[in-house]
Amino acid sequence: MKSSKLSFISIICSLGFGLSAYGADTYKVDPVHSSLVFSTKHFGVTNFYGRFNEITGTITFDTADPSKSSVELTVPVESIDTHNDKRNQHLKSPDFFNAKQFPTLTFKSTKIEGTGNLYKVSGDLAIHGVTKPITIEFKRGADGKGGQGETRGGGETQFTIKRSDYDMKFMTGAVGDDVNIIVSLEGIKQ
Amino acid sequence: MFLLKQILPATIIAMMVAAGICGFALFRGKERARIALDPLAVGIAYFAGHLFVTGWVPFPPTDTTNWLPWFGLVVAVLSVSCAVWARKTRVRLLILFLGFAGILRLLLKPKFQYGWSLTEGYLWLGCLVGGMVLVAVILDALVRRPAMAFEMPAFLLVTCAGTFGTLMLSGSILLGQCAAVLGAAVFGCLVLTSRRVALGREIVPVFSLLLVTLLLSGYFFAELPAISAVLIAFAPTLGLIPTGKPTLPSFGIRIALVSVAILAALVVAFRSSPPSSY
Repeated sequence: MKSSKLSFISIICSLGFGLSAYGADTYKVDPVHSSLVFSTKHFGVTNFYGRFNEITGTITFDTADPSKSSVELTVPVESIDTHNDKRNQHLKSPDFFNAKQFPTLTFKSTKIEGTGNLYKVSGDLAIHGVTKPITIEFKRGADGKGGQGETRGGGETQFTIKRSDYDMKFMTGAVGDDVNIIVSLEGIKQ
Repeated sequence: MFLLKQILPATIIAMMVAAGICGFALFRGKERARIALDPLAVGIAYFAGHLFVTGWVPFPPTDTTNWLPWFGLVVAVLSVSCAVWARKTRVRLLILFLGFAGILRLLLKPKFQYGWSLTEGYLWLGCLVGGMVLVAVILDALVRRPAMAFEMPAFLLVTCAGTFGTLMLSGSILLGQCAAVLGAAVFGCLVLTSRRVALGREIVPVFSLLLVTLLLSGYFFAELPAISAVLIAFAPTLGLIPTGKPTLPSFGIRIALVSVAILAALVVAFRSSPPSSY
């Protein structure tokens, strides 16, 4: 009697676990089809645009309970691309990102809430050795099938940070303090 | 024009702070006061200039380049303490070695984190500390050599000018600006030469520390070629060449030789990374 009760409980528990695990989908960020673009004012005149060519990470998304979702992204500073080698070198130097001291930018979510296709994602953004909490609005796109039948999902967000908040204060007269960032992510369901 | 506007304010502040402290030292008239205030003039002037460049940075700094002003202050105080309490050369060298080792370990923390294994790291550290102490020994020999009052500042200024040029070419205006601040701090000490008072040897640890840590920051974190860094660090050695009594022509020969080494460093840095506007 005792052993059958225990077996029943263990079956219920594993079913419950299976159900909740079944609700969360894990997507591996596809760096080829994801984009990170930034812009900032040059001498206060107009926006200048650049990008990072590599984004890697994982998105775990639970449609039924978004609070159980998570996002982790890593961007190598070496992948910065402003279509000018000298400028790329300058941005990687101690004047700005200091790539040899701080080789990556990272984002790790702490809280996700929302419904439908609009979500509020809170997390820790680490740039130049400084970690700050931020909250962004993420617009989720629909899932679709890729060229090899794999399931793909993604979305996009746009937000602004002050680079001086991340201890990047050099030449704020020439290169703006406000940096606008667009992140468009596409992931492959695992 | 923009670069000049960027560089001038910090260098003027460093120069004024150093001149003010050295002027006060002259005013006090006492040898011991001057000995104490020489290294502090450079250390405090560099601190003020560097913070003007970067703005106030929370302590402890995450960017190791922002440790430099604190290093300068600590070594200035150490240098004064050694002048007063540790007169034996061996004791001074030991304190210098240990101080430099701790400072370089802090400066090169990212290399230990992302680049080197522990063995590799400590091998690098040992060699770099040895090199740094050697630079200090050479500068110490230069300052103790019988010379006219303006000779030592001239050698230091030429070295700073070369450091400024090579660091600017290495892709970091920030580090170049810091080298300009160091040069301005030394220039401010020229106020001593107005009374024909030579720079004391206590200035050597502060100067050699700031010079070498700037060059190492350029090599490890910017694109400064190793050859340029070594040429600049050891260029003052050519100032030790015996040229007879301290006269203007003999000084001219020695400063020309040092300048040739600095020029070679600039050429190497230029060839490695030619400037281009964007």
